[in-house]
Amino acid sequence: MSETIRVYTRDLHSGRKKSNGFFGKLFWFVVVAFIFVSSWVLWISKDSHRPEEFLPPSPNFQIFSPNLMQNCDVLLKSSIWQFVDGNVELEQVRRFLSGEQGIPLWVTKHLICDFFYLSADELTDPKTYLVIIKLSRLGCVIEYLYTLLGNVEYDWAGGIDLYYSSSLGVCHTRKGRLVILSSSRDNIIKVVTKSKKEKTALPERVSKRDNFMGIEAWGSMKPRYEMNGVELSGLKFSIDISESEIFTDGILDLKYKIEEPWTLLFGELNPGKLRNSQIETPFFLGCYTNVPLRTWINAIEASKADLELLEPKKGEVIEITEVIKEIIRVFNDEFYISIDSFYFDEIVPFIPKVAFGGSIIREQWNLVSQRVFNLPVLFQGEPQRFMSTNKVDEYRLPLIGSSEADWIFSCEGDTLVVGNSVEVREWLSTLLNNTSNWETGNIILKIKPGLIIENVSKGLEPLVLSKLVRIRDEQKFNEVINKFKLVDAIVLKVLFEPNRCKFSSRVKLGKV
Amino acid sequence: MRATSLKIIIIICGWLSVFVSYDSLAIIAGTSKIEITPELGVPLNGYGARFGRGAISKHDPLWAHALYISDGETEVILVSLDLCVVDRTLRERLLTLLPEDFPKENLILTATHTHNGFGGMEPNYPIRFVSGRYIPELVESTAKKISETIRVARENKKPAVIGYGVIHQQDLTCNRRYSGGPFDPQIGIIAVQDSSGNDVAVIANMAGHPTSIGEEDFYSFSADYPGFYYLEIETLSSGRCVPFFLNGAEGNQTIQAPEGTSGWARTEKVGRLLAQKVWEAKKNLVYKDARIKLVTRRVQTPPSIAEFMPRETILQALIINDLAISFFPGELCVEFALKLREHAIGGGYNYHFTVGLANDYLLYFVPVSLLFDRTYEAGMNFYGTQAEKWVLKECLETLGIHYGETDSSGVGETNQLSNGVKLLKISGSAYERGVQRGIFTKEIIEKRFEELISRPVSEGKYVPQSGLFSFIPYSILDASNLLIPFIAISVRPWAGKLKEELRSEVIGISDGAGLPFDKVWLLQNAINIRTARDYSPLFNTPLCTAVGIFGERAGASDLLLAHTVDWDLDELPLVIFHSPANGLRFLEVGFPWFAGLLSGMNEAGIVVSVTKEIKDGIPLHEESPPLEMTLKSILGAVSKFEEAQEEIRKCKIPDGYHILLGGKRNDNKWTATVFPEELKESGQEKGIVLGCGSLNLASETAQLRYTALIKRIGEERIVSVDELKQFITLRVSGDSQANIWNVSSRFSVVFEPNAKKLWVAIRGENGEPTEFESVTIE
Repeated sequence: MSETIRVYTRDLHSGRKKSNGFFGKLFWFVVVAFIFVSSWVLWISKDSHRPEEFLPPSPNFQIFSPNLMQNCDVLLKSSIWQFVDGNVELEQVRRFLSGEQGIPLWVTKHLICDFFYLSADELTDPKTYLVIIKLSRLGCVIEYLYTLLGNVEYDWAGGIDLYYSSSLGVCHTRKGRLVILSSSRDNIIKVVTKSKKEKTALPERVSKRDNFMGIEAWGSMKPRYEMNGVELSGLKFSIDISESEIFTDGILDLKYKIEEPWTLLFGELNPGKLRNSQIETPFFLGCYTNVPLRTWINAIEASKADLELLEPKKGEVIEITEVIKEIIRVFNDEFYISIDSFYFDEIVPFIPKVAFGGSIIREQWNLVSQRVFNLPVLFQGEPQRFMSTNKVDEYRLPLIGSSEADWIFSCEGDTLVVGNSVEVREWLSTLLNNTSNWETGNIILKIKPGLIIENVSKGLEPLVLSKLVRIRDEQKFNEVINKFKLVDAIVLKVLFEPNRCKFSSRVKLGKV
Repeated sequence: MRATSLKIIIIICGWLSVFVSYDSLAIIAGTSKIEITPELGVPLNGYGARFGRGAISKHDPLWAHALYISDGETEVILVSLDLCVVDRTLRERLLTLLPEDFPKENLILTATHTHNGFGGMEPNYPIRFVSGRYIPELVESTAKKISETIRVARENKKPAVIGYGVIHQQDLTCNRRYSGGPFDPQIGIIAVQDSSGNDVAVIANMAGHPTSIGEEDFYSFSADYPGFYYLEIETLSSGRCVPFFLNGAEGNQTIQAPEGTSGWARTEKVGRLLAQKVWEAKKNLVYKDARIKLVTRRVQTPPSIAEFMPRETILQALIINDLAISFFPGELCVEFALKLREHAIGGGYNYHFTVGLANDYLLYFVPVSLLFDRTYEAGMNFYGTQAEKWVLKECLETLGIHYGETDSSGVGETNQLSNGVKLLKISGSAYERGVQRGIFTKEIIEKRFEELISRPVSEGKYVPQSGLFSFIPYSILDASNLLIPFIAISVRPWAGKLKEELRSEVIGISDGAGLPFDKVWLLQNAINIRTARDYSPLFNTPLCTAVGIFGERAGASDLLLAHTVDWDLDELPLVIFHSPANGLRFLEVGFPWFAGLLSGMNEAGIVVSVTKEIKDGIPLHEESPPLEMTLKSILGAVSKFEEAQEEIRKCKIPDGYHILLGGKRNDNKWTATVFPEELKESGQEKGIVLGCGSLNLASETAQLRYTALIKRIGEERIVSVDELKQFITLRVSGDSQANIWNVSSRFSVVFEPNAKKLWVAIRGENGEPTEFESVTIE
């Protein structure tokens, strides 16, 4: 035996070397794959195009929203769905937005990222619709995989790369992160092949609400609607929807086609000072008419030969309709109407508590009061008489119901208030005397449908209890009532300028 | 000494006898009164023309007068209120305020019916349309005042005697509807005195509407003439007694204008004259013990077409010795009071008063003889013809008197022919035959009413295009409960133009079926209403086909008539064999629920058939009953052709109607004609008369049918019964309306007048006509 000292040294790294080999490769493979995939994702999700390149030039209708899906939970919580309950198409939309329509919500949010655009030449014809959405990067991947693996047919379309889904009946193409969809192939081709000169801007926003938490959208429309010689030639609007409110603002372009006296007046209409009510009644309407009301009536009358003459018939009695005409003649350029529920216990349960009033032309009032208030008024064939009250320039006319419901005509200075309810008259009188709460405009309309329908329902009760009437289908009736109750309040303000009209509305929704 | 003692004993006994005689008096009584006039602004009651407006002044106070009376066994509280009516809510509240030891059914609450009293106490419609805004606080305060006065009356009770009697007047009241018409001359008087002979209460009962106040005080509170009655009695009694006024059967009664007075002077005159007459008469009353009995019954009201009318009410009768007082919850016409009195006196009472407007308010009650007049009273009656018997029966029963004829109508005899046609044999008077028919057809009447009246009305058909009713949203609300009674009231007077016999038959039908008369009568008019110009100008009325064959062409039969009836509702006919108590026997073939004549023949061989082709609808403003109803009376009464011609000439025949008439002339020849043209022949073939009148003027469809019919008949020199059966059920092409027997055909009938026989076939299950089966007038 050799006594050579043999030193056996074990290679300490030999095991590690082996393990470094597999995981290392794996690691590097993953890294490379990640880099590759990321690059690929970045590549395919290049935001290489701007929406303006594909917007159709002057469609009849278009709407755009920058945050449809980001805030869709707001829309889903809204009571508006209860209001349209039963509408099949809108139910499908709701299901789509909530992810119940087969596409998970998170996917939809990646497909409709921060841009949603819809245009149509004919709203009633879905074939004219064109939709443009912006994908997120993940959305681009999803779209890519869909075109690869989904049930779609590829259509080269001269390099446009269209994909057609027969199950959905929709074509689409993707440019950068923008996807253009339509049920009409031609629509897509038209917008994609637009020249650079034909770049179309997004519709202008009519109004913006600061710190608004909800869905915002705005757009434009060409109504192509004409009414009595006034053409609505263009509309720009914006809609903001929160959980409990819907705001709509718009500018309507007007063209006056026929030169009738009343259309001329219309064309000259300007906004004025309108008093805005603070008290919430079921119905309130304020109007600023620019010229005395009588001028409007005369103008309409001149346009339509079949309207009754406004001049009162001279005689020993006066009809109630004549009294109304006489009173209209005295108003100046602003008037207000307020209705506050009904007298439920009266001889009939549907006597509304009404007051109307406004600024008057004093000379007209003097003429009217001398002529009218001394004559018996024919009501339902029975003569009724005006009576003086304790106040100067105030008259009482009992018509129907107890003395609480008598009509009082009260003139103070240059304002006139007429009504059959003490509270509503006093409230309107306060409004007319209040010089601080003004708004500029031509129409203010406030309605509380929920309150109105509650009153109507209450008014029906004694008739139903007395077995005079019966509700046909109680369940359906209650459903209708509940739907109305969903709308707490509607406020509409309108302002006229030469050749256009601006409006803004607010619908407040409740919960049932 | 003995004589003196005897004198003393006699005096003492005499003195004691006074007490003894008073101790033996059965009754104790107490009275009180309280003013119930509310504050101004509270709505008045009585006139819809006030539109629920409130009072603006008080002319004289409104009172509640209370009388407590007891004979030791029965205690009664009688309250007279200066109100238009007694509202249920007021009575119900008052009952809860009565002393607990007082039996609630012994309260009698009456209203004087002043039309210047206050309303505001009725929450329900339709009364609220007149009584104005419902004020619950007013019910409460009024009830409390009345209960207070009742309490005081009870507390004031003392031993008393009662005197009662009647006097008669000719100058205070009269019939308000017909000059010289029936009125009640009786003034009933009840006077209560205490043991000292002081007047405690003076009660007058007279029938007359307190509606004398003029326009200038239309909105003033006033008790009307009863208020002046109170004043006069109080003056005459130096304020010692409480006056009561109980209005009688004032439904069609009003006050006169004594001594030519008018306005307030008239009101005062009547009130004071009444008081003076009563006061004078009171002196002659015999005051005596009294046994009191009060009968209170809750009864079902008669059938009504108006769902909003109450289904039960209260009747009361107060019997004081031989005086009977009937308290009725509505406005009776005077005819009822006169009849009730007659029966009450016949039933053993010496005196009878009727007091209306007691305890409840069921509107007006009008006797059948006045029901079909277009008057306010008839229009305010929703119980129809059944009300008369009901009033008499129930009021007399409350008095313990049986009323009511035994119903001898019986039930008709029913058979079924082998082809499925039902034959109903009815006999007796027109009313009895109606009852028999009503029993048999009750279900089909109900069903057809639902289809032809209820459903269309609830859907908003038959509604005027303008006015209040046009605003009702019929898709949401069913207003038939409101509309149907109004339509029925409008249509009811048309029955007044029927012959008495036929009207009695319809009344009988409603009684037999146990249905409101108005319902049955409205159904009889459904045919006209459906095709009325205003409601359904485009309504496509099915077209009937009828033909008459006579002379040589009829051969041995002499006269044959045939009729195929088209109708858009799927129903089978009924053959009815009438055997009137007076008149000719006849057969009619028609629909079970319709009492008018579609086709019929009497034992003298007179045959009448009605066909129609309505193009533009018929005007309803003619206010006539259906022509078919009028024609029916001919069959029971007329035996000769010429007579029948005369009767038909008197009828107003609407556009589109034709009447085919066949029968034996005075010269014993059989013949036929068609009205209104009175054509003797079709113009094309001899011996044929067509149900469309002149073929040239008929519609295209009618021309097709009748041309085909004439062609077939024209091919035969003599037409036999069997051939006519074939011709009248002819089908030319498929399902065309040009076929005589078509999709709308329900039955065909062939008449053999000289054999007194008819043949009838109906629509089989396969849509084809069945075999003809015969029915003979034996």
